[in-house]
Amino acid sequence: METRMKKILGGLFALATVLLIGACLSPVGSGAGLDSDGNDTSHSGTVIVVPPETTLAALIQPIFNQKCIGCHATGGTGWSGTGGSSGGLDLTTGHSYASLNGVATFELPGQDPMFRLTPGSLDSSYLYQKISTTTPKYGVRMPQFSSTGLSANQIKAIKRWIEKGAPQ
Amino acid sequence: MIHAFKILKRKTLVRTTLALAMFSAAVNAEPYIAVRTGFKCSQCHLNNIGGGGRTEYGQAYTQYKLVMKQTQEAILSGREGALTSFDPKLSDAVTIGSNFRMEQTAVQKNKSAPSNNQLGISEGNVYINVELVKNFLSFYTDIHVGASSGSREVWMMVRKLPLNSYVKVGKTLLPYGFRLMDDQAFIRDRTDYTYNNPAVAGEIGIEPGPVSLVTNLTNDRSSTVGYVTYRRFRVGGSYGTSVKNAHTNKFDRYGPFVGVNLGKFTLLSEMDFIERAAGDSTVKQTAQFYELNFLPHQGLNFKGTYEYFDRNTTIANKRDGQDRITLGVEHFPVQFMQLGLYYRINRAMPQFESENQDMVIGRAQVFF
Repeated sequence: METRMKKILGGLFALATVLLIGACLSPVGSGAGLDSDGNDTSHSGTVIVVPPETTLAALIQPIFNQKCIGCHATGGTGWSGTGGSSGGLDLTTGHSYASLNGVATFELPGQDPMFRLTPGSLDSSYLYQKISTTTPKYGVRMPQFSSTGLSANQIKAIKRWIEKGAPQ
Repeated sequence: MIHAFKILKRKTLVRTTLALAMFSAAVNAEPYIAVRTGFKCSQCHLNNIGGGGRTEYGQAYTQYKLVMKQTQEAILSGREGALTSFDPKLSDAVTIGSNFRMEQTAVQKNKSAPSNNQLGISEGNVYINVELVKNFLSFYTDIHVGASSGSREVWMMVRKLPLNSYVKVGKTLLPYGFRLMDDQAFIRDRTDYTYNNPAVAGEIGIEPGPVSLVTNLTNDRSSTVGYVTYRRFRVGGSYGTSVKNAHTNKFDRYGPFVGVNLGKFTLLSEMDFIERAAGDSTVKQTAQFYELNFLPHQGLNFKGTYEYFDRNTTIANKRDGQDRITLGVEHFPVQFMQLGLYYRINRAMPQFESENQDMVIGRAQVFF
């Protein structure tokens, strides 16, 4: 029993040693001279800016603009054609994030609160429920009136965006 | 009579599996298991590069060789109560399987990045494999039953062609490097080869003897993985390229990977070089992965990983380097179940507050 315990402790020690050596050999960035996106813009030469991974502005807003804002826009037609933003959801540039993030959907009254968007959680993001399944928890799949709907790549992009924490 | 037959069938399955498994000294799932046993990924997985549904061997192995010794001994002794109560092979032609994983994640607060403590379904999938023509033509689907709906994979495969080759068409996981369970690992996340991005593709694989070579072509990317397995040593390389599409710029990635088993230790290592288009320039990045598994006794695995990401090789690592250190323990108490507890240290430049948050992950998983 004692021998076995010694073997376990020896193994764990080896494991920790390897990790410690790795951690010591490779430096973690101090961020010195880098902007908030981690790019070096402090010198006058050619600056290589790391392209954003999935962000709202770069990749998601164009999808909203193409497929969603016909109805989901202040001053849009609305689903009933009566004007206003369908569902009180405004997906136009500059308004979409505030209209999504942490805003409870009214479509699930009396149930557990569910936000339109919860960064990092597909389960808790009603936006994803509405676009990814033909049988959402309420109503119909979106976009309802777009002639082509969302492509598989567009749904995947939105999914990835939410999983990545929905960066703006 | 039928009951007696079932018991007999189970005992036969147990003995056959154990006999096969004796050729491999040890235990557990994921790439380190393949390295530890000296098998190719396709020994246990229907996807030849790993992940998703399991072969008949893989299913039997997970039931009888991953569990702790006491459970295995109970199975060996033939006590009925210790035998599995479920056989995923529904008939000679139809097999089902599943991975269902719940995780409790507690994330430490860091400046303006909030703490978070939540329970979630990190994976919920059901697999169905139908052998339409035995050992030649099969249909397979992998259906989400957790956070999202729809299929993750649906494909048909013709196999047992010359040189042990196969052709697969349909929606499938894409081959690249080690198929890790952790999609957030730098080598999977930053190369964009995860469980979250299956695609409609055509795939050809050739696996004669110790060699495995798989190449896959989708509408907007292609990738190739090749490796050689010699006893409990594996070395290989991957190459992937993507054209610009709706969710990413053009980028290329390539790199080697190595796995080796020495007694109770199994080491995995992968390094990827990434080149991403950025306007008129190209950003060069590197992602490194090292994993050491220590198996003191069957059914219990200690795991340590060290990962490093250099997000722009033109900037010194001491300014923008980033790493993740994970220590964890995994336990297989009974068939079909894994429990895990991990502590992860995330370190990055101070500007990236959310990537400097330590976390604790508790995991419960059933699989078959």
